[in-house]
Formats: sequence, structure tokens, C-alpha cells
Amino acid sequence: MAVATVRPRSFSDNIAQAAGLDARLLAMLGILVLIWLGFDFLTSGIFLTARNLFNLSLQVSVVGIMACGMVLVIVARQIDLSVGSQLGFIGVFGALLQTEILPIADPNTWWLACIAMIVVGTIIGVVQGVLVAYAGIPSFVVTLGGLLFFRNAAYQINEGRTISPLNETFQLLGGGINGSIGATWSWVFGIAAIAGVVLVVLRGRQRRRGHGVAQRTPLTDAITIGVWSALIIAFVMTMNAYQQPKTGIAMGIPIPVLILIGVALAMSVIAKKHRFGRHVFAMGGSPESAELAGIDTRLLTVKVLALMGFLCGLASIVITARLNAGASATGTMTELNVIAAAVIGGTSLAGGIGTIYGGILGALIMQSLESGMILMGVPTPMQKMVLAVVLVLAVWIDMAYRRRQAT
Amino acid sequence: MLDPAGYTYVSADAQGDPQKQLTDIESLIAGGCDAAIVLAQDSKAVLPAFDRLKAENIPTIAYDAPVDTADATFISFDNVAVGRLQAEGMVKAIDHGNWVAIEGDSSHPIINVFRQGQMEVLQPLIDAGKIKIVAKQNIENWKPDLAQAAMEQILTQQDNKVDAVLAMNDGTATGVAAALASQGLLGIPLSGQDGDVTALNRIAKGQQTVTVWKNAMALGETAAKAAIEMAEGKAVEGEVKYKTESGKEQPAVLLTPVGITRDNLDVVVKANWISKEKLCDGVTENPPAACQ
Repeated sequence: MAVATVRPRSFSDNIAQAAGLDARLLAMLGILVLIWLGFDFLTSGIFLTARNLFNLSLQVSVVGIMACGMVLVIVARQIDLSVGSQLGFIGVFGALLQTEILPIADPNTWWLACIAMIVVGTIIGVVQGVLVAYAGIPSFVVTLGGLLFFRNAAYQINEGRTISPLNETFQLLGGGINGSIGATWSWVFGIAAIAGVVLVVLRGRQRRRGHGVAQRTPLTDAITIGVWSALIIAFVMTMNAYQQPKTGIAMGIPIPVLILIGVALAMSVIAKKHRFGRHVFAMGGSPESAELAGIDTRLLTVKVLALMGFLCGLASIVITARLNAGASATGTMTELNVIAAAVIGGTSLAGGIGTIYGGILGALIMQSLESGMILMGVPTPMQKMVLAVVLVLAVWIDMAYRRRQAT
Repeated sequence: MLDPAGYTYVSADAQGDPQKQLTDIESLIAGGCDAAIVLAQDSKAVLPAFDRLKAENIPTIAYDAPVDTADATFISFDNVAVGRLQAEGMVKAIDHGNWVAIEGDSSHPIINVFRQGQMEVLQPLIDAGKIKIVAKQNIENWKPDLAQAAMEQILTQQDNKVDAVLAMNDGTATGVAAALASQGLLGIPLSGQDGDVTALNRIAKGQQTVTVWKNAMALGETAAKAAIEMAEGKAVEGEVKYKTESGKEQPAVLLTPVGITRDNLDVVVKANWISKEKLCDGVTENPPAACQ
């Protein structure tokens, strides 16, 4: 993962360490804040309204969920170009399942459909993984095949017809008018999250004591808890400040955003703490050494792509529920957004380097630019041109930063 | 229609790629043919292939999508009429207020033709200050999920003060409908095109105002009939003159599309385009005549 370097600690490093974040992340957060303030100015205050931030959190959830998987895929020195097509195919499949096979109004339909969609995604990932790891076909080729295959399969299985409406409970997973958890539960979530932060900090102290490692000052730990609590409270307050149109009831956190947070936490733990994640980073850093160290790199590759497929299934649930329709064009070109999010977030295409939170921040930066430009009424081709420039610029800055750190 | 007349139909699908279309046409010429029916992926990139067809003296039909040449017969729906019917259907529901335009992919020239038709109806109302287009976005690849995000942003920008949404097809209308639903605005006038099953169902439920239905069967039959006539050197029935993008005069047969609103939903049921069951699925209060 991060290469340990010895250099004098600057002031910003101290704050970053207190929040448990690295300086790169802090820089990305800074850029995000600048983008937000810039758009807020350019849209005369619309961008930073609770309503727009609520929109933004919903709009980022699909790419965010998939970016978590893509980071690991790229860290493992692979690529998955099929994720956008999977999104479309699994969506049409799930919609067909609800409307043609299962009784649409049945209370069990929504979760049966969800499980089926996730299973299909995982199977697609396993098949692609086996072709890459055991048949030795480069992942670029296998998933390029997947891109063509599943996009066309999405058309084929329903002759390109859009399927709508879907099961009512299923729709909630997309965060529509009733798809948020309301003010009370949002606060419950916020308090639980803060308790979680406190617990993690205390356990860190305990572990350091146990291992006899130099203890962090209580002030540093207090700042850590303070910064995170403030962020969590601000988030909950923003989501609660947005009211359901007409009734005026506070919306609270939308379900897709909860799913994204859950995925991000789980994936961060897997990437950092779990053996599986550490093996992926080891393999990405040097496949030969990893193999010599006794890691089954083939099985590991299958697992990484299977995990990506699993997350595609999950993301497909969100996008299909949100649109309340299974449409075969859904997700066209989304693979590029997902890869771009991972790369803007600092994932190195050479493998071995990347973070989950970086991928999510990358997705957030891209979606902020896109949503902000629509608010400003910027024509679509212009929007894409700006995104392209940002992508290249972000990678350039990142590489320059890494070179400076290495010297 | 082709088989009884003694012709065989051979097809190739360029899958959205203008380059592949060129190679496809070259190999079909090499295989020998009496007439070609081409659904152009791009109105200009396909021209070299049309030149090859002309050099071989093969009568050519530009099917559905326009091609910028005088050397082919254009068989399509009257796309200006598509835009006009969309606007007419909408104006019947509301002839004033803040309108939003959700247009198709900006790289498809056909959207200019649709817009031309829309504006024939709307421009006088815009000039009179009755209708105001408060926002406009093009949707890449006509993707419903992008249309949803764009509509969410526009509603935020306009603080929900939107009275009607002029969407160019039913796919983007699906995205717009989802965005409207999450603001409790579903039911304001909304247009579309294609006669998608979901869109027709929305019309029956009062969630969409109009879709423009183009009977694909009729178009295919017209093209096959014209191809036979051309291969046998006869005049094409119903031929008119059409002006292409760059002003070239092109022979054409233009079918008239049908605007479908709540009042004539029975048209699509009678044509077996959609079953009554699918059309009326979930329709509870105030059913249209076709669902009673």
C-alpha cells in the first residue's frame, strides 16, 4: 500500500494524521471544497442547498459503489471494462424477473429479485475471473468481450423494450420520494456512526499499548473524534434539512447512500485489515513475489473480479430502482466513469496503489462537476470536455505528487 | 413481401459503427444485389458506401435515418411531423408557462429535424411570451438514467417551477418521469416518441401526455415495396421531393407518424402494437376510453 517515507512532518500532516487521513486525501478534499464553493458562487447559491447536496449524494451512489470494486481490480493490475454493460444487463434481468416471473405486488418479490441480481453479477464476475486467471486471457480482452456481450444481451433478452413500473418496495432502494429513512433514523445512524468512530479510536489506543508502540497524544485522538463527529453531524443535518416536496417532512439519508456508505466501510476494512485485501495489494505490487510468498494469485484474481461483479449487481439494483425501469441503454459508457473515479482518486494503473475512499472521492468530484454544470446550463459536449481535462489533470498532479514524495 | 416477388433478403448489422457499415456494404455489393436498403449510422460518414452503390448502378434506399445525398431514395417517417405532433399534443394540454426541453444526443443531426417540427408549433407561443423554455439539455445516447439526473438538476435550478417537459423520446421521458415522481410532480405535461410500452402505459395512467408512434411494420413494408419497384426500374409509388441537410434534392417516401394521446390509445391496441392488458396495467382512477 502506501510506501513508508521518512521526512519532516508538516503542519498539515499533523492534522491529517489526527483525522486518520493522509495528505493526498486532504488535498482531494480541498479540491472538492473548492469545486463546491466555485459552483455555489456560479449558481448564485443553488449548489450548496440541502436539496442539491441530497441530489448529488443520490447521483453519486451508483458510480461510487462500483468504484469501490474497481479500485481493487486496478490495484490487482487488472481492468474491468464490462461494468457498465453489466449494469444494464442485470437491470433488465431484474426488471423482467419482477414483472414477468415473480408476482409484481408480492411482498417477497423485492428481495428475491435483489438476491437474484446480485447472484447474476457475481456469476458474471466469476466467469470473467476464471477466463483471466486460469485461461490466461488478458482482463482487458475478457472484459471488452463482456462489454459487448452484456450490452447486447441487455437488448436481446427484452428486444430493447423498457420495463416499468417495478415492485413498490424495490423502488425504495433507489431513494425516490419515500426512499429515505427520515429524520429520526438519520440521527440514530449519525449517533451510531460517532460511537463507531470513538470505538475505533479507543481500540487503536489499546492495540498500541498492547504492542508497545508509541502512543498518540490524547489531543490527537480528541481531534480525530472531533473532526469525524463534525462531518457526520453536518451530513445528517444536511440530509434532514431537505424536505419531502409538498408534505414538508424531512427526508433524511436516502437508502442508496446508506448502501454506498456500507459498501465503502466494508470494502475499506477488506482492503486494509483483511488478509484478502492485503494479498491483493501484495499481488498488485509484485505478482511474482506474491506468488513466491505462497499466495494463490489465480484464485485471488477470480475473487477480485467476482467482488466487482457482486458490486455491479448491487449498483444495478440502485440504478434500476431509482429509474423505476429496466432499460437496456442504462449504464452505457458508465465503465469509463467508474475507471475515471478510481484513477482520479489516486489508484495507480500500474497496480499496487489505491484507496477505497480515494475512489469514492474521485466519483464525488466527477459527479459534482457534472451536476454543477447542468445547474449552470452548460451544454452536454462542453461538460464532457471539462470532465476529460479534469481526468488527465488529476492524474498528472497525482504523479507529480508521488514523484516528489519518492525523492 | 420480398420472397414471393422472387427476391432474397440478406442483412448485416453495423452495430452503431459507421466504419463497419462501410465494409458491410462493400461485401454485400461483392455478393451481388439488385437493391440496397441502408439504415445509415451517420448521415455523412456513409456517403462513400453510397458512391460505391451508385458506381455499381444498384438502386439504394436510405431507410429511416437521413443520408446527405441525391442518389438514394429516402424512406422514413416525416420527422418534422414527429416534432410537430409532440408539440401539438403538449399545447393541447398546456399552452403557456415554463417549459423544459430534454433533447436527444447532440451528435445525432435528426434532433434538429425534430426540433424544427416542435418549433413550428411553439415559436409563435414563445414569441407571444406565453411559453418560456427555461432550460434545455441534450442527453448523451438518449440514456434514461442521464435524463433523470439532468431533470433533477433542472428542477433544483428552477425550484420546481416547471409546467411542462418536452422530452424528445420515450426513453428520456422515462428518466424525466422518475425525476418528476421524486418531487411529486408526476402528471405535468410530458412528451415522448416511439410508442414504448412503458410510455403508453404512462399515458393511460395520466403520467405522460403524448408519444409519437411510428409503425415500424408499415415502414418496412414500404421500403420493401419501393426496393422491388426500383430493382425492376419502375417508378416508386408515393414519391415526393425531400431536401437533405445540405439542401440536396432527394426522392423520398415519407410516412406520417401518429400522435398518441389519452384520447386515441385504441389505435395502438387495434394495430396489435400493445395488448390492452399491458396498456391498462395499474390504471385505477379516471381510466381513458381505451381501458374501459
